[in-house]
Amino acid sequence: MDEFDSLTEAVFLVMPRAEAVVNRIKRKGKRGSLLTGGDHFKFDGFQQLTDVNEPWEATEIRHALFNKEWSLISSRIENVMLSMNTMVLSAIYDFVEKAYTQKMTRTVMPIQELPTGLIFAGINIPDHDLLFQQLAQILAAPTSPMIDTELSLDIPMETTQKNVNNKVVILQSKDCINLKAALKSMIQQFLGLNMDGAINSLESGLKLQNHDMFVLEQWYRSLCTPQEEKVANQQRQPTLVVIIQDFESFDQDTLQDLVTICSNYQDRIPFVFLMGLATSIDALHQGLPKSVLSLMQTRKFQMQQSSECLTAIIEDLFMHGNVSVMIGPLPMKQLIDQFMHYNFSVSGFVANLKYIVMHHFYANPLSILCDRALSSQSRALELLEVGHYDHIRMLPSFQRYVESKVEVDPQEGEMLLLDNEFLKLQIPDMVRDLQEYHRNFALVFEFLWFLQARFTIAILKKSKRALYFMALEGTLTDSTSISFLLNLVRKMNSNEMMIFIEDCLQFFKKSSRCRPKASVEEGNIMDKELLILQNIRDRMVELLGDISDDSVTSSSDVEDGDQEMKEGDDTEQNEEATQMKDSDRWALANGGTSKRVLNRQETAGAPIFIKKRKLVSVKANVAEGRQTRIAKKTRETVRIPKGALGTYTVLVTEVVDLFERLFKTYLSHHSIMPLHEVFYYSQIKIQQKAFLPQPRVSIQTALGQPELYLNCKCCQVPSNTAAFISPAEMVLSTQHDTCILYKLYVECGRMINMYDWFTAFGMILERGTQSDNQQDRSMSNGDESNTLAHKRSKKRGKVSMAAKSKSLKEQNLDQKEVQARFISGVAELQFMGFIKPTNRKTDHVQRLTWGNI
Amino acid sequence: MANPLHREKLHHSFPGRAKQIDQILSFMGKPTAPTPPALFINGNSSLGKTSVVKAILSTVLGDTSPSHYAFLDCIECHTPRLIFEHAIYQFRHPPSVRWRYPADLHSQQQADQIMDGYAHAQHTAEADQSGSGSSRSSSNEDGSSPSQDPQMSDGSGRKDIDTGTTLVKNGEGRRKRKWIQDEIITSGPPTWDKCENINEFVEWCRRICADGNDGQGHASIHAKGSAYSEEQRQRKGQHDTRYLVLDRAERLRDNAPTLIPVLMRLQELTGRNICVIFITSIVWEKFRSKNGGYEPIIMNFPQYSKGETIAILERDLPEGQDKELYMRFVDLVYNVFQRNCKDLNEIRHLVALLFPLYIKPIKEGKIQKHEGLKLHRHIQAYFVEAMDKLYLREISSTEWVDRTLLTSSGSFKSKHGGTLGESLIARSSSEAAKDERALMNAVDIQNTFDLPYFTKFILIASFLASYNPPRLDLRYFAKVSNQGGKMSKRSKVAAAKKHGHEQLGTKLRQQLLGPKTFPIERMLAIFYSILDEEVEENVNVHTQIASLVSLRLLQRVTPMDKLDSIKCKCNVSYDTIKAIAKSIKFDIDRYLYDFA
Ligand SMILES: Nc1ncnc2c1ncn2[C@@H]1O[C@H](COP(=O)(O)OP(=O)(O)OP(=O)(O)O)[C@@H](O)[C@H]1O
Ligand SMILES: [Mg+2]
Repeated sequence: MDEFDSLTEAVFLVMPRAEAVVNRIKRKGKRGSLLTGGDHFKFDGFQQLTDVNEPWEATEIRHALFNKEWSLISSRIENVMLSMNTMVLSAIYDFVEKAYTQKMTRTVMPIQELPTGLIFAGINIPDHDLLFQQLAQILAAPTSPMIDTELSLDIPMETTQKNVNNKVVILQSKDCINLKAALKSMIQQFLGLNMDGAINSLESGLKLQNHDMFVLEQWYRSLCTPQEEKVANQQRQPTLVVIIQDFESFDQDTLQDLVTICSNYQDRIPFVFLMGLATSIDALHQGLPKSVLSLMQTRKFQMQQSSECLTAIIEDLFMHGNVSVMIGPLPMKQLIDQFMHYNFSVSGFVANLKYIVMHHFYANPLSILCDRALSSQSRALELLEVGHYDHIRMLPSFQRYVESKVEVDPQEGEMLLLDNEFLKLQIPDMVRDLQEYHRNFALVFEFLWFLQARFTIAILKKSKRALYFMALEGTLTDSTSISFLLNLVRKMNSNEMMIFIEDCLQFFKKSSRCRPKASVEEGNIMDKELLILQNIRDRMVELLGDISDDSVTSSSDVEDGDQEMKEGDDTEQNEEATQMKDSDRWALANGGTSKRVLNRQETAGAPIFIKKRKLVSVKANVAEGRQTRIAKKTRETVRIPKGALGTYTVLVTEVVDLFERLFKTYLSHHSIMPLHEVFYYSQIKIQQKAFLPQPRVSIQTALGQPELYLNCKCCQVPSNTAAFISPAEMVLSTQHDTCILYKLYVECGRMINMYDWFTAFGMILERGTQSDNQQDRSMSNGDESNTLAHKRSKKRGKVSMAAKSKSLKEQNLDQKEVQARFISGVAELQFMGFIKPTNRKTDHVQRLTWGNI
Repeated sequence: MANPLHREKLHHSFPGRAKQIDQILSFMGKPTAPTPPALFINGNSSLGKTSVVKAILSTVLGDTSPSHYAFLDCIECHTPRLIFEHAIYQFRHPPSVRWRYPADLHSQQQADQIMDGYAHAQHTAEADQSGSGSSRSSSNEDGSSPSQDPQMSDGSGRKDIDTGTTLVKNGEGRRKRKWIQDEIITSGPPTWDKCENINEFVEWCRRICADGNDGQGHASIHAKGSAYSEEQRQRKGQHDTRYLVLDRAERLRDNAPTLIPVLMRLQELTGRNICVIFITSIVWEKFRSKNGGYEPIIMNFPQYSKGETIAILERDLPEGQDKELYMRFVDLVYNVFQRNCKDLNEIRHLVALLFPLYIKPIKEGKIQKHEGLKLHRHIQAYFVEAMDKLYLREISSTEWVDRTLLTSSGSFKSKHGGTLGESLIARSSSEAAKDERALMNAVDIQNTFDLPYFTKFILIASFLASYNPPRLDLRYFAKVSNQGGKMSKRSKVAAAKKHGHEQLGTKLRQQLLGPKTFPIERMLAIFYSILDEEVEENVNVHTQIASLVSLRLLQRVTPMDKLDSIKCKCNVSYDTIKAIAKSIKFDIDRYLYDFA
């Protein structure tokens, strides 16, 4: 291929030629597709999967599903991110709005200070691009984001007095290497805002330089003038907002001057600065001298921590099951680890996620079924080929499903295995079941969170992300977290129990999953659970109503705010309630092991993080104090209505059992669902390769075992070599020069003698030519050795190309050629950082890497 | 010369600067009197250099001939060209017309004109007529208010735009053709003049001084012949002194070093009555070029005495406040802070922020006005805080105001030993985080930041590499000790520690010397050694190093274009690293050599 014979280019991008693709399609596609070559890229490289004999249309569907899925995910992520920061953003908006209108603080000061917002945006600088763009948009808008989102309904339009649009520019350190560039960037952006693209009229009209503040001042005046004429002059003048996006990377001298200049102009142009700080306030104090600091009037704004953003994203996408593609435990761990360990980068997380979603649809033929809206009419079902069915039947979850089916209905089990049409009919149901599972999971998981939030005991409290991860792993249902929570429920006193159950009811009713009005026939399981709970509630109300009728109650302080010690309630509560509670405790204590005591020991003595120790010991003290009080009270509670007590205990047990069952059934591991593999992505290898690249390892492999990359025949290790020599240690003359040098290098010490190295290298090459010649003689087949030599020469590049003919004819290698090849190889190794020249010893180079990873 | 009224006014507004004001006034002399070519004013910051000079020029020249001086800030005018052009502009246009630039810069109209050459030509022709017409009419009508721009009085906005832009263009065109005869000072819309080098500038100065008569010249093409400008010409002297003021002139030394000697002898070069005033905070000796040159008249603004300072502060008396009380407070603040803070502006800052607190108990009726001692004791606590935080701008003025308004003086914990910061931590953590105020306050104490897990280790490793001597690396970090057997981390560290303690307290401790540079490889070796888990080397570790550099937590000492053997320094304080280490339960003290 002559077109690739270049002196300067090392790598070429070869696009598939149109005819070739068409041919291939025609050959492979059964349906004689009409697609032309360009379509290879139309599907972003999605290809027909040949192992299932996939029709083109299926590929198309996979591609479309991917796009749909990804646009859903990314828009959801965007919304989450925006809503996470709404409050701070609107605070910043207010700050900018009020910077020049609120005279209260400004008039007091003898020296006018430049209003400066410090925005702490987290340490991942690349993520800030998006954030600050959003911020700029919000600030330039005439209304506050808060008003936009929430209050727009409550506040009539005239009260949200129409403000002038503020002008916002974003300065980035890369555009501001010196003062001139910074001013230029700022001025051009300001002017560009006002007239699309035609900034130059100013310069040409006035011959002004584009970094002259005069330009800005004039522009600003012209901006204000017409408005004053039109509207009454109460109209506020627009504020100019300058966002310094990456404070830490800015040239500090430039920034200093910029601030000074703008502060000088403050009486003419209302500037507001917003500085994005990635670290802490110290950066500001280190970066700017006192004289500049005293020009600024700072206010700090903390953006949402990025780890919280991550949790919110995971919650929105996966915990609530809002998307089709779910992430299995392993990739999820990997995603989170990468985030927490390395970069805190939300955009990195998103990129990673995109890769996962793409890979899911790219390589998995069954992903055409990965569609929440899949129904029996779906086109995807029509396109299933025999291969697809085979794939489905190979899914472990499906196998398990069939096995369970066989026990109940052997015939159906058999049909599932043998009858494709029957299976096709079943698929939508299975997918629907899976969706149902997700929806129920979301609700019950939320309920678990709600439950945990109710008890403010610090230990055993898990983050939402941790809980979800446990659920993904399948360890949640049996975890101590749940049993601990249920225990706490059991120990509530009757008053709290009533409130609690009421809250639970409210919780379920509020969620969109339970529509109390909807009939039970609709088959919504959650409704049934709700009914059960309601039933319990009613009975309990009745019961407690009876009791309170008996005696006069005069309770005022039911809640004493100290929720964390549910079991050791203290203060002067209403007598009736106390009786109830204590009796209930009696029942418990009689019923079995005194879990309460056990529990308390856990509270006090469990291995606890140092931070929390203090807190807990305080609690323990309190608990002790209470115990005596409780003991006192138990003596008083002689007159318990025995019948009611029994019923009440039963009710409590019922509640707890209900919850337990809820958790057990709905938070169970996703692997019980047939076809879950279609929705859950569970590979990590490919993701690791792409997002945790290890360049050194790759280079070392390439040099040590080039055959893995080149896949050539000539470097195959001869079969007769002893087994104890690993292929990496074999030095073959057919290998690339750099590889040979590298293998010799590995055996060297700290200092490498160039001449020795060279000699060794020469010897190996020598060996190669000898064996070549032997082959020549033995085979006497010119073609064979020709191809061999050709192959080798391709690898070795031009030098050996020239030498090709020579090596065939001459017995001995040309020493000059060997030297040239040696030098180029050594240069390459030096370039890759394996050696470095040294002055310590003549004719030696220093070895830099140790250990073969 | 000085008009006694002016003098009086200036003296009054700048207490303690009477002598300097008189000096400058006598230096200026009569408007036409030749002055020495250069005046050099120096003095520490906020001693009123800028404001005094500005006030003098605007009082003396402002009413009669405002375009006889140009006031430039050398930070803003950071290139010679900017200095030239701004100076020329200010000389040519009195402040009243400086901004009367009617060309609507953002009008679509103009963009269209530029795009369409043909249309442009037509417009020009049209506008020429209308422009001259309107200006004529306006000068007739509005003769009484000379500063009014003729173009502005024209009717519709749209027409304004047209005429305005084209006027400028037209004016330029003409000027190019007859460069020599062209008039210097225009009364029409301001024009910006290009001036790229010192020769042109000198030329400009010559023409400005010779022909100039205060910016209302007969000059504009369109206003030519107007009765008004003729009048002006006669009334104004042509040879009045022009003043070119360069504030923060120390910047010139970096931005335009060659310009200084030229400006010093601008009078000589132009042969006109022009005077350059330098205002700077450094001494003349640092300006003087090696091969000699003109020596300016040097004038120093001395530090204010206590009486002067108090007199200046008196002028800041907030409206409606008791003067006696205020003066007592000012006196108190001066006595407390003067030792640490000589800067007038800082004291004013402190007074402005502390005074409301001082009078708060009086307002609330807790303390009587005359109970000086009680008031003193009351404000004392705030002084400490102010010294600590306010003065260093750790708290900005708004935050201070917010805070002091928020906390009633009783709950101000600083009285009882705890610092303000601590009390705020307690408060903000106990209160509901939902409250926006609390949110803002929580930010107030934001001094730490979170880093990814491994990044923390990288930073710790860099800190260790910066402060530990390399020769001890083996002791602290080697996985295998030289006795052959594996040494537990504990005993290894203990051994190293012992060694360290012997020398603790030496004068050349690294802790006192600051961070040393280290090669990245060494840091990475330490990093892998202090990590408990096995981490495969991957790209992220390196990107994190880069990101630490861009966060300025690491400082790269090798230049950016050098890719080999990068060296860095750790730019993090011991307290910060300690907090970071604590957050990952890493006991950094055990690895630090000779550290206290
Ligand atoms: N004698 C004075 N009387 C009244 N106000 C004064 C006096 N001296 C200084 N000031 C005030 O102090 C402030 C700072 O003064 P100015 O900016 O002129 O100082 P400066 O010497 O130019 O400082 P820098 O060297 O930092 O530029 C101004 O607001 C000015 O009004
Ligand atoms: Mg000054």
